[in-house]
Amino acid sequence: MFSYIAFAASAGCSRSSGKGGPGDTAGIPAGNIVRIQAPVAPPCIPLVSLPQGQGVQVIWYKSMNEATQRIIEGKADVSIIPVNSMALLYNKGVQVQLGAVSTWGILYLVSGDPGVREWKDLKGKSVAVGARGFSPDLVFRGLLLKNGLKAGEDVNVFYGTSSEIAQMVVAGKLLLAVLPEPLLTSVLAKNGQVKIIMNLEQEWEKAFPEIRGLPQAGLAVSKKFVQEQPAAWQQFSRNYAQSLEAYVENPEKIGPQEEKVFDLPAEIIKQSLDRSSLKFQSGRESIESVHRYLSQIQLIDPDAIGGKVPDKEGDFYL
Amino acid sequence: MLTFGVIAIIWKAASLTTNPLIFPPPETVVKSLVGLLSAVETWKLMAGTAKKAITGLIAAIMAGVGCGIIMMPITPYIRPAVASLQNIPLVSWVLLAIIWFGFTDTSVSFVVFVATLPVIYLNTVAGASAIDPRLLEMAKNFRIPTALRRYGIELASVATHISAGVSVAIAIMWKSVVMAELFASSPGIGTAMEISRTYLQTDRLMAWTLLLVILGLFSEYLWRLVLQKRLFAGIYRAGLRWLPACSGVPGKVNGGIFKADQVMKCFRHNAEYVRVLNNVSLQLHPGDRTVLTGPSGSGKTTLLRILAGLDEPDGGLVTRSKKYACIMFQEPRLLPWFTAEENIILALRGRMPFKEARAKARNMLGRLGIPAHLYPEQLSGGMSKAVSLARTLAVKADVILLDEPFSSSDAGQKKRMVDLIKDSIGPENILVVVSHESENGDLQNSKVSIMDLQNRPEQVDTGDWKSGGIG
Repeated sequence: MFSYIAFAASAGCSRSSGKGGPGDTAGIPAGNIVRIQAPVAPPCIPLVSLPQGQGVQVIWYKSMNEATQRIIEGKADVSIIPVNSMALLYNKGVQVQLGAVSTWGILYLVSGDPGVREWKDLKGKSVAVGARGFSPDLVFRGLLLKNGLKAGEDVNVFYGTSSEIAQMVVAGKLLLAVLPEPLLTSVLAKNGQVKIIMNLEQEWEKAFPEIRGLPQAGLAVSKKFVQEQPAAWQQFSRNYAQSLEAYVENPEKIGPQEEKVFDLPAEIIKQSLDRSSLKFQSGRESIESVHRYLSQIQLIDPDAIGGKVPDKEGDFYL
Repeated sequence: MLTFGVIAIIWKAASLTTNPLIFPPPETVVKSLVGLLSAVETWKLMAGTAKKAITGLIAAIMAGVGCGIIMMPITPYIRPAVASLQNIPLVSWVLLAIIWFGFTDTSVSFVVFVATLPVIYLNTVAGASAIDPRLLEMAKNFRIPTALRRYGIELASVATHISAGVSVAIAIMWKSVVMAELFASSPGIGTAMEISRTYLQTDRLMAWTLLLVILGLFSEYLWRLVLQKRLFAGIYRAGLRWLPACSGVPGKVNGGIFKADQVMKCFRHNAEYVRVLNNVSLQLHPGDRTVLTGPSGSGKTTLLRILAGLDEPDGGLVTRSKKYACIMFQEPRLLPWFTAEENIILALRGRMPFKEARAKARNMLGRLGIPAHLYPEQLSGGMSKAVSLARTLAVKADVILLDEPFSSSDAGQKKRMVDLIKDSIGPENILVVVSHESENGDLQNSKVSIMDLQNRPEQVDTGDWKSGGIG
């Protein structure tokens, strides 16, 4: 998901850190405002029109470094980040918990090479992946392994920022790439030669049916926030879940407000949302899926989760 | 060691006040560094990074030095453009390189190239502008072809500046290669640092940084060692052998008179003009042996330089009849980076192959009793003058002009030099020697004429003479 953070930035989406977005209600006494940080991406669309009544300060971040730093310094109550990053921070001793999973798959493998349609066709090829160390990278490498291919040996996997990769795919300089939404929709609109050859969420479910989905990203919650303002967290998570469901069931509601936030035409946002698997599941509800997902990630790259899978019985899951 | 100890204490104190994810303590970083150095993968990554970096640096050295020397005449046009390159942010080059070359090692090497090129080029041109003009005059005197002059004098003269530029470039190289690897996702130290950052391994990130510092210091040390051991000097001097002899020297022309008519020369001294030569005339025929005498400042050297074509008279005329006049300068003007024999070989390489030139040089030096392999810094003043004499005689000029050849020489050396002169010149040669009267007897058995320049330099008004041409 954070591969398209750079895309948002390069698309001219200059959100200032610390400035409030929609939902900001100045004047509400301090302590009742939920400070949420999020990338400008479809999983964050619920933030655009949260129900009124709760003070929310939205901080749109441009990079995981920025988000991580804010979490470590305790300047964000809720952060929409990858699930593996939550485990990484938790294992490093940062006081965060997995509050909910909201994104279950927005990754696709695209090809401008008509000869590549299946996993076996990737042997000897080069594939560009954005966001090294995050879900696009980890999921793709895991799927390669499951399909008998090894990154670096059978398939040359190289990394870059998603915006650069997208530009080079549009220009025809790259033939194979893992792209997230909404970058994918933008690329498809600009280069008709590029086709989606795999939905990585579906491939993941086929390869690892026991994991029950691809819990890619969600809401990381500050322990301090939950302990000091449990009611605020409860209300926020309810509002977020409702808003998410509203967008998923009625994408036609996407309009000028969303266009302004995402700096993209509404049509692109709608198509992107259509290809994004968004579903709200609380931390407790997603224990099994997340635990199995992180266990698989540990096999692929243990450093990506901080070395160990958080205990199911521990306080990682809210 | 004390400095590092103080740094470690300050570091430890600071780390106690912050989150270890943000600022890990020194012992954790050192432990990570040891872990890195123990891993084979680390050395592979370092080798990969070094390969890309050195490729870019070598390309920059070749381009910078080549353009700085070969394109010296158009330096005023090139220098501003190259200097402007320094103002382009490195990140711009990185992003452009990715667009032009993709996520490849070429992108990384290209970034190192553009980052280091300006400092090497600018140091080269600075060195080129500081080339000793007396050495260039020496090259003109011996009619050393352009290629040999560029190689033998200009390139070596700028070597000190180039080596200083390379030292600075090495530091730039390490910084730029890491940044380029990070953006271009080329496997190496840069990407390893990015991965450490992604995985919140701040101690590892700092360990990589320390490793980079060590690499930078080590490469600086290696470079200094290379310079001290004169490794490049050996390679450079071998160029005398493989550079092709190019016959840029005109053929000998016998016959015809060599003369100076009413020659005048003035020099500006402070706000005044001093006439050093006043209507000096002489006629020289093949076989003539002439000794110029006179008190100091009487214009002996000035007259020789005019006869050699190194200076123009302010009045009068010099007729050379296409004869090649070569001067032995008062000071040896030997190239310090070449041995005694190589100094002679350089003057001869435009005329003959290397082996022939070397044989001739060794023969002459052997007759003078001078070890051929010694560098000028290892020669006494008298020995240096002897080598200079040998070089002058070796080129077989039609007119040989010796400016105080025996000064600084003891009696034995002087005798060897006189013998060499007598054996080197023939009836077709003209010899003019600036000498003291006591040495005239050394050239006995030759028809020797004495010319006494009794001119005393005198102040003149600027209206008394016209510069150049006939007065």
